[in-house]
Amino acid sequence: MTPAEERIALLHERAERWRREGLISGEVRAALRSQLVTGWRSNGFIVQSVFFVLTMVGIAAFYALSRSGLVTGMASLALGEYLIRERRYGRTGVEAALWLGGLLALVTELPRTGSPEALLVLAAASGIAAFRVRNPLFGVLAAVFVMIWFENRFDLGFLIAIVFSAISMIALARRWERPSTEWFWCVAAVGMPLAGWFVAGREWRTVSLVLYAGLGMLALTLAIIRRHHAMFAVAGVAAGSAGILAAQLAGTPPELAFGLGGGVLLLLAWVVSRVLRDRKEGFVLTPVNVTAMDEVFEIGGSVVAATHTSGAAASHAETRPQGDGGFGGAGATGEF
Amino acid sequence: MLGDRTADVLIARERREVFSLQPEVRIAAWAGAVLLATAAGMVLKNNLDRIGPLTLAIAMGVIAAACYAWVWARRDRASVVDDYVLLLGALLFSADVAFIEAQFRLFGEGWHRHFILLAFVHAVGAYRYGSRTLLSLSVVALAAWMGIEQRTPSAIWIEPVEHGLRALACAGIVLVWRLIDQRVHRGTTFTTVFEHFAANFALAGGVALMSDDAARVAGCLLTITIAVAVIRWGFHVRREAFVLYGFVYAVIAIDVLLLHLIGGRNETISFLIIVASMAVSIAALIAIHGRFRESAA
Repeated sequence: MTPAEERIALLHERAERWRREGLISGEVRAALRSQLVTGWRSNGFIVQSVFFVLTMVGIAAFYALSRSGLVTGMASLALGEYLIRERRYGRTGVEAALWLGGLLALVTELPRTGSPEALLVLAAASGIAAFRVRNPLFGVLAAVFVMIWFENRFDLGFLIAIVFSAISMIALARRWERPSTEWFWCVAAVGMPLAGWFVAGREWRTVSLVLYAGLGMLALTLAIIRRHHAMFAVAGVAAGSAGILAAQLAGTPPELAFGLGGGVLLLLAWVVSRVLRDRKEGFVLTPVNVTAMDEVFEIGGSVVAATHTSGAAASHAETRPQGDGGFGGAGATGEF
Repeated sequence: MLGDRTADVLIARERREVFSLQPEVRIAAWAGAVLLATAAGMVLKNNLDRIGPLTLAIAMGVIAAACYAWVWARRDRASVVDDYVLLLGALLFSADVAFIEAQFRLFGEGWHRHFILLAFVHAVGAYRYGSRTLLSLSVVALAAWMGIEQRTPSAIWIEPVEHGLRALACAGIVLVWRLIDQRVHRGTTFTTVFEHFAANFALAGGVALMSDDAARVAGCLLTITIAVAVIRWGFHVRREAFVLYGFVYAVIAIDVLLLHLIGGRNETISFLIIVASMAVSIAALIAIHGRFRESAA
């Protein structure tokens, strides 16, 4: 897919979002789609995910059937290339799974040494797949493998994660020709500090706190100057991580830490909504859909939260005589 | 094609001259409400001996009521944050009811009736405040009362047939609720919520039946039938989510059925079936997705 074709595909996605937000009608969206044709087959993120999972299950079953990483890898890569070149599969999820699954199948043919350098092989496989199918998630997967390798070799994984996130944000300060490249920097900026959390050593908590706080301030500054959602997301991730580390270092009871964190967030949201109320330019509060599934995620998260909150609240209860279930149901207690 | 006004709006947005912080505010408010409710649950759990159950229950109830009252008092000048203050109130109320039932056993042997109390209160809240989130809490409480919802997903495998039948019954009740809502609730925005819950309860019921050796074939056939109906409904209302998860459930049911009928004990045939079914599934989903796009255009 050329950069121009990628931008047209992005415009298709934007048009759908504008339609959902009521900025354009369905007819205008359809007219845009018919005038801006790339010839590539592509899907939205959720549909891509379904195709990706189905294809990966098929590759795994084929691997089990053939018992050969070489056969599975070569067949997957050949089919992936055929679909890309001949059938114009751009971002369907199928070709991405074939490329990643194929390369990982080939990796299984290599001799097992137990060396940490195997992580670099996995990183290379993910990176090559990312580059071929222009998939930002595979690119970040490669970066995570490199981070784990640095952690195993030099105990520097966390630092690498923070530095990579900072570099990604600086990269986001400019416009990229390919939307997929911009998405890679977005996902890396947000994902690396999250991944870094899992390799941060307990003995380095103070240093980790300082690094997270520094990254958060950098992200917030850049976010305000450049007005970018990914930078605000990095600021949120870094501030949250720093807050958790600060609570751990201070020995704050969890209920106090959660209560303070929740109170600060709710208050901050309320203050921002008050300040931006009625604003028409600059920072505003116009309703925006980040994904088509925003409300589903929000409702699902709320239901899960209700279940856990009430489970904790009722955990002093004695075991019920029925004894065949657990707490649940919009946060209610009880045993089925 | 876009018109000057729309074009100006989109250009300003593209240049970030106008930049909406609404997603960030919503996420912060949602996370704040959930963290506060989690903290409240921990306070109830950890301070029972020190403060006493009655004081804790009353305090929690007062805070929950204050959240509802705050949002009600501001209903004419509501901001995006008010939705999450309401959510906080609902979460605290749920936790409080759970705590009271666990401590005082007001319902005695019929303890599970407190789910109905929760379902009713959340439903009233949903209609008074027009909140789809509260409606979802209500439907899940109803499902819990009917014995579907469990803390651990593995619990469903203990009594799969009973769970499956209860899930199907719950799907039926939610569909009836949807019909009543459409008739009596003018300008309702709840229809899609009911439909998603009904579809998922029905499909989950079919999957539960599939996990029972004796009911496996019937469960697979039922799941496939429901999945086809859900996919058709997705086409009818032009919502791709129905099509997608209906399709995924159908693929699972078909694979389980084939493995059960043909390849159960032969590993090679089993893998061959999975490879073939994934290839067919992908081809079928491409065709369905293409048709959906055409019909939605």
